[in-house]
Amino acid sequence: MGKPASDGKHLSEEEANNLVVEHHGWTESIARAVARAWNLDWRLDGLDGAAMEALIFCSRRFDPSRGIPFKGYSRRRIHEASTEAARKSKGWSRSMSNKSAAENKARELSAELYGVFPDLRDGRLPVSESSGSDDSDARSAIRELLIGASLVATKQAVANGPLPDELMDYKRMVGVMACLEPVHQLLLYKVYWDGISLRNVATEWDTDGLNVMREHKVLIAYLQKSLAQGKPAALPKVRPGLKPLVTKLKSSGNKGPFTDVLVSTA
Amino acid sequence: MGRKDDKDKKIDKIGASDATKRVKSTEAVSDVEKVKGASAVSRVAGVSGVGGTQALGKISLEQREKLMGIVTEEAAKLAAQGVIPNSQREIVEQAVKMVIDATLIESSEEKKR
Repeated sequence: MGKPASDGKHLSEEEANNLVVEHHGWTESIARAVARAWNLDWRLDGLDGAAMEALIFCSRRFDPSRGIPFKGYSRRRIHEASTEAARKSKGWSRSMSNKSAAENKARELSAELYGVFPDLRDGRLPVSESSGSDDSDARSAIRELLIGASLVATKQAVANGPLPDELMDYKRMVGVMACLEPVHQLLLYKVYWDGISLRNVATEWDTDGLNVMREHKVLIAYLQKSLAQGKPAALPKVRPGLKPLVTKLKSSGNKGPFTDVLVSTA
Repeated sequence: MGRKDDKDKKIDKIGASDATKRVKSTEAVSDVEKVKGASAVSRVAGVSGVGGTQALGKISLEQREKLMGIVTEEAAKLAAQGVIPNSQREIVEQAVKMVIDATLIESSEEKKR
């Protein structure tokens, strides 16, 4: 048994050290997972040290009175520290120069996806509500990830100047998004162009996280349908939780960021 | 006939109205009590166990092959439908595989305390 908590909130040093010892192996497995995915060496590239530092930091900050298990509290930080170390490592730049251009782009794109889908850092697919079948939930989440990745890739290509043969594809995607209500355009823009997570968009808009997550799911379904049929599908309605924002955007004359892009390039 | 009716309806006399009763004085309002402050919530208990929503979408290393297979299948479907441009397909598929792979750890590690 460790010493009692020093201030009634955080753990005593001994208790915090015990947490570090208990979670050492688990922390290493997070660093190994990051290294495996990006083809790095988890020790040579310094992922082990970064992960351990994050573990120690979390053990000092952990407040058991909040009722959150330590793994739930610290996993995201440890994963974040590991991915940051990976991107700064020599292995990252070395393999960036050796690998094909497509693989390099894929790695950059995957690193950006954590900003959009932070639940992945907790070892969870982006599933906001269960359909009752794990398999169909996984499929639907993976579809969401693929379409999301495609949007981020579009943003990156537009920013870097797309190749002529890609230009039509990107114009088509932006055109489909420009048909949406301004509030829906803004949601997609914030998530995929600004890289803000859905939860943070909800906080910024002062609404419930589920409102934004459900709306995002509907928008992804709209994009999928529209792009598959080659013309815009029926426009999704704005859910009541987001109506105040609609009024605000209308009064300010905001037509939506993708409409603005189309107008400016017309 | 009409006349008889009119006769019947004749007013006899106007009765005296009841005397107006005294309006009772209102009772004194007792002191309005001060609004008491709400007592502090002792503590919100944490969510117990891992069941329910906490496990929603949870994935582990043991499911790796299956998940990678789903990514390949879904990427092929979306590319065939024209949802993902062909020029992007390889990069997008690979990026999603990477991002999932980098989160997968052994379920035994998850369960260890």
